[in-house]
Amino acid sequence: MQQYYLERTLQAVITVVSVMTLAFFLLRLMPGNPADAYRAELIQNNPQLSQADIDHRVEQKLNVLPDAPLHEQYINYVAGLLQGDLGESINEGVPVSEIISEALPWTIFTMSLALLLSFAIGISFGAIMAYKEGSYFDNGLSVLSIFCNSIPNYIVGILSIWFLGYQLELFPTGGRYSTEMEPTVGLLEPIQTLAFLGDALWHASLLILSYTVVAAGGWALRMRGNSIQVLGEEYLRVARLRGLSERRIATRYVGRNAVLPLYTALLIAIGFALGGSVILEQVFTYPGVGYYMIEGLEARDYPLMMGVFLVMTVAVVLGVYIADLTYGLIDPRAQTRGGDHR
Amino acid sequence: MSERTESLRAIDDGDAFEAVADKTMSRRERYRRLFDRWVLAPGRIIRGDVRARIGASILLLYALVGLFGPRLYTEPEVNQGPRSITPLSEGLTHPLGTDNLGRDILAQIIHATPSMLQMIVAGGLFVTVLGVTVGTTAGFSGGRTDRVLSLLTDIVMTIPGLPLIVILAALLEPQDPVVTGLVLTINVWAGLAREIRSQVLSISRHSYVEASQAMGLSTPTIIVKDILPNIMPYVLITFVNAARQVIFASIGLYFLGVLPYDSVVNWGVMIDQAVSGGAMHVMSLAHWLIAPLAAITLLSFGLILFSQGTDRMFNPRVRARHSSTTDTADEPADETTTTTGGGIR
Amino acid sequence: MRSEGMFHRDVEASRRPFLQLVGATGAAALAGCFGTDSSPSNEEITGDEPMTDRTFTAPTSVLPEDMQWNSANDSNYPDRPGYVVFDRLVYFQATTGEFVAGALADWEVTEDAATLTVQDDLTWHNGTDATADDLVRKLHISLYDSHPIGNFTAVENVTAVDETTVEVGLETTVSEPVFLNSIKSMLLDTPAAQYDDILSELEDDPESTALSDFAAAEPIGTGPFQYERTGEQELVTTKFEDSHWADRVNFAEYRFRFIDGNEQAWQAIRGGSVDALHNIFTSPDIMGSFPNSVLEIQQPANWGLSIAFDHDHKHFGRRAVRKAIAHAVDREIVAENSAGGGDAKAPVGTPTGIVGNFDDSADDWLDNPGGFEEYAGRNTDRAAELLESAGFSMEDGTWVDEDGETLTFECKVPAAWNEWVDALITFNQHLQDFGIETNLITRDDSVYFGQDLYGDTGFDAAGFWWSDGWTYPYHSLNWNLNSADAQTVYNYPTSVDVPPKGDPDGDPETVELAPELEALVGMDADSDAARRKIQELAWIFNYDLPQLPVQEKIDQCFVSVENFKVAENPDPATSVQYPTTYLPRVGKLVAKAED
Repeated sequence: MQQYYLERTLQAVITVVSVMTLAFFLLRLMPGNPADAYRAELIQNNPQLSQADIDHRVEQKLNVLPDAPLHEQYINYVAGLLQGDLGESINEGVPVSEIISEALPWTIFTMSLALLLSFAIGISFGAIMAYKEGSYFDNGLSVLSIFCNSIPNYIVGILSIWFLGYQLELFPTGGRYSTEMEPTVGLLEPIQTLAFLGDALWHASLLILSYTVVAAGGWALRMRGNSIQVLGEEYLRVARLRGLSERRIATRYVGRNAVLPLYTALLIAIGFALGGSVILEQVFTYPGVGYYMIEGLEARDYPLMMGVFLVMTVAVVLGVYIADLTYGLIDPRAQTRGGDHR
Repeated sequence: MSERTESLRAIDDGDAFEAVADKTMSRRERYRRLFDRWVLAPGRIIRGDVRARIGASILLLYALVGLFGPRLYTEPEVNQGPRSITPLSEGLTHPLGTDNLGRDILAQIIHATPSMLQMIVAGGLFVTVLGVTVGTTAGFSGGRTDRVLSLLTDIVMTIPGLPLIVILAALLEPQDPVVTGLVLTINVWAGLAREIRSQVLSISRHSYVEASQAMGLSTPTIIVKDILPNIMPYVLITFVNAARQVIFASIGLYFLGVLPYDSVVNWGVMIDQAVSGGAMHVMSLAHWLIAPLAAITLLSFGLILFSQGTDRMFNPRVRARHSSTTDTADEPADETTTTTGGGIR
Repeated sequence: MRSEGMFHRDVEASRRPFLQLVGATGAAALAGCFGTDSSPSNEEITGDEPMTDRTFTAPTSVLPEDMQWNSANDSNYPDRPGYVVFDRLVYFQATTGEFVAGALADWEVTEDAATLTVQDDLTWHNGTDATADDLVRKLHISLYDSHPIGNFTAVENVTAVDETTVEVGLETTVSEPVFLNSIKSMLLDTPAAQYDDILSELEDDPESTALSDFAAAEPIGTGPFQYERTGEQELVTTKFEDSHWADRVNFAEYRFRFIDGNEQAWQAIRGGSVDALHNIFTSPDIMGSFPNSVLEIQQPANWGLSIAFDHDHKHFGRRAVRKAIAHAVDREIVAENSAGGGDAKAPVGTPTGIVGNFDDSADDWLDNPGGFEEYAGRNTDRAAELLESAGFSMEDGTWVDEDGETLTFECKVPAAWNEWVDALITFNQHLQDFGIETNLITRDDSVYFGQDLYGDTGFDAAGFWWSDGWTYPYHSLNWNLNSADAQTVYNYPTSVDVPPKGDPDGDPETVELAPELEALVGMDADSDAARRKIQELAWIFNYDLPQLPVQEKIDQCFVSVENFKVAENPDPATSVQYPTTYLPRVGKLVAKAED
């Protein structure tokens, strides 16, 4: 058992290091260096600026860039990382860690809500579908679930902005919270905090909706499959023979045994959710980490892109790692399998 | 993930018996069986299963459009019709209307299909070949090779796919649809490789494989004869997953302008142009946005339906039920393996 | 709504009547869309509107919390709010080509010096007077920052003569428009409190990066509104009572709301969360979705798309190929497609490298416009003739050169510039119809500018611009024929062989371009000599086509008259960039009385 934990930990570390290396060299190979991007930005924002002026400004900016050889940059970077330093954003002129730590809570806020919501909806409907297997209800919802799961979530996003945002003007189409709202989170000011959270939720609602609609379809189908499988198991017949109530069977046996396999999936999905925010946040101009990834890409802002990419990877590694370590605790049967549940 | 957590129940005694029995059959009998197994039975299942039938029809439709559409329907050209007209407003001249440049929308949808299909097929094949190769190699060779390949697989599985694809797309700026397909599925093979490795490990412990080895059959022969049929469900599921990832990611990245495009039209580019052209603000432009959205959704829908239906054709236990007796039992739990949490990993 | 004000307003005589026409057509089209609508209409500005507590809200694309106010530091400098908080030295009326007072009350450019006079009642937001010393500081800092006025002067030549007068000694002779053009984007934004130390650092070490590193958390300007506070989504500025402009301003606050992207901007003005959009390309379809109370104010940008040809390219290096392309492409259709069927892009008439195609005033510079080749477009016969004379022939519907090589090229365009993409799609289509194989390639913005235009990757043909906001022909002719950009971006030679002006069949002469343009820069803009020189250079442009100018942009500004009144086209004040930031200064954007 101890060796298992050790192995998992080692693997997590190796993964992070290799992804760091990969990302570092990939990003350095990108076409269009920051100077180019900066020039483009200047030209776009200041059509009146003379060429000499632009050249001069680009040159000044270039001085800031490290001209050191690649391997030196890499070593510096890793050394910095170990001290929690992700470098400085070329475009924004502030530490990347600052941008990410400012943006990350918003992505976590929306994505975890969306994920939990879709999970709750998914497993509820999935269980009901399994119980009513073969009925019109089951067939209808199955097709609906497949359909929802077929649409890319950013397309649901575009559609919801279109109808609920622009046409019906029911929801805001971007931003984190209202202009009038003072961001307040504190126990001492419960009313302001609630108002603020409510407002933030209202702004994120279309984004959450887009993710939830698609993901819930997937969870429902999986829950349905798991439940049908569990329902056919021998021990349920035994339980019924023992005279246990249907309700008790539903919650204790079917629910538990059908949901358990989804536990790992959920943890890993949480890890992947950060990465899944990339296109969606851009569609909603919601300044979370995914948004900054694309912004960084467009500005050829290497440190920013790299930082976001690393944070997203670490999230997955963490999700997988926790799933690995805790699965045995939750499902005793898994222990005997020595963690080979994957 | 569910691909990982749910075990495949394809291997049962009956199948093992069948596999062994194969050896004793005449060549002609074997071909007949193969034909039955790979063509007739799937055909029966597709015909017998509503979802598979619908899915197959949708995919067939796209394939036909992709193959013949561009030859039959006019090319999208600037000012070929009046600007921004709504569907059917000029009879059947521009059945889906035109965009802000007066280009026929249906023509754009049709002429965008071939490159999309190329991308999908390229991505699917790439993932399948790489996944099968890495998986079987790791499973059969064991030892250090296995450990290195497994570690590599684990790492690739842990890299969040979409951000990686975004970076790669910006780095490589692929324009060729085949290359684009490969880039967009760069991380999908790992899941398949891992699954195949564990299948190989479990199958190779089975007596009939040992028997094959004892009979002096070479490793590739064993793979083809004994292993491949058993892992087909995974291959198919992965193929569909790869296809969906190609669709999701390519449309998204074209929409964001991360992928470069040339004169060839693309659904994602259409969405981008429609959105920036104000289709979300002006109802009379709605068709411009709806058309590509519908094309994407229908294709993805067809893929999932098809894979769910055909999931059974490779699963001997189910197939036996479906093709031999008019069975009353319902589909197995495996069907859900194609669905994902919410898009691209 | 807008048609009333349009025709009866008494305005100064404009040498550019076309805008009225454009405006009128636009108004008629809009009126047709809206029919009967009871939303508020624009009202006549009387000049004695009472002070109100109203707030004018407009967009900004920089997150208010990230804003820093040093315009020489480009990270998160809020461009539009800067125009409100700071004063420009001079303002430029694009329709009349005139410069009007800003922070400067008066100016005079003579052979060896420019004398600049600061407004005598100009006050910084921190209460100190803005004087000649402040202007000297600005000019010195700009010179250290490689501002183009360094072409005519140097730090030691810029001195304060008295409390309000600055003398700029000129090292080379420049005409007044050239000098004013070079300072027209300059803001008086360097108060002593923030920039004295930076200037002394620059004086000690001209290479110091103190200037571009400085990030001013709050601005101190001389403009009509002063910084109050920033929130997550909004920047608040309040009326500065001691401002030189204060008498004409009758509303209390000017706010900037963070808005990212065109779709959100359209939505904001539709929903009324902003009162105006500074400058945003909007197709007629989208304008149709705006409420009736939203007015469009157009102003010529004097900036426009051209197709740049790589002059080192095997085929584009040849004049006949460039001319054939010019004949084959219909610029009117390209411009119309680029504008989504609207009037926001004016096609270039006769390509001469002189701006003013939106009202045909470009031709005013020419004594005999008919003597220039018009390249009317879709003239495939002439195009074919030119290609054949250059040794090309048509095979299977495509043109091949004398070696059998297909005449084919890639045409690059930045992906995010949708109007350009639409224009180039059309451009390509016209060439394909003519038998030239083209392939449109969209590129990521940074790659496009960094690698294709200014980097090593290069291009065959690419979207570029042939004018950059200038009206005086020297600037655009120099840009196209003689600038470093012409030589590095599209490899234009330093000398060309062209027949004499007005005689296309005459014997070609070699013209060295640099001396020609240097001669023009010092000539009095109103002199006959300057006019002659301009025509000679325009002839070279027209005959050799360094680039193919396609269209001129017309900027679109939108103002809601729900709570405000605004001057409309063709009032020349509306052609100052941007109406939303300039008109309040001169009392031409005022709040309606509160109910």
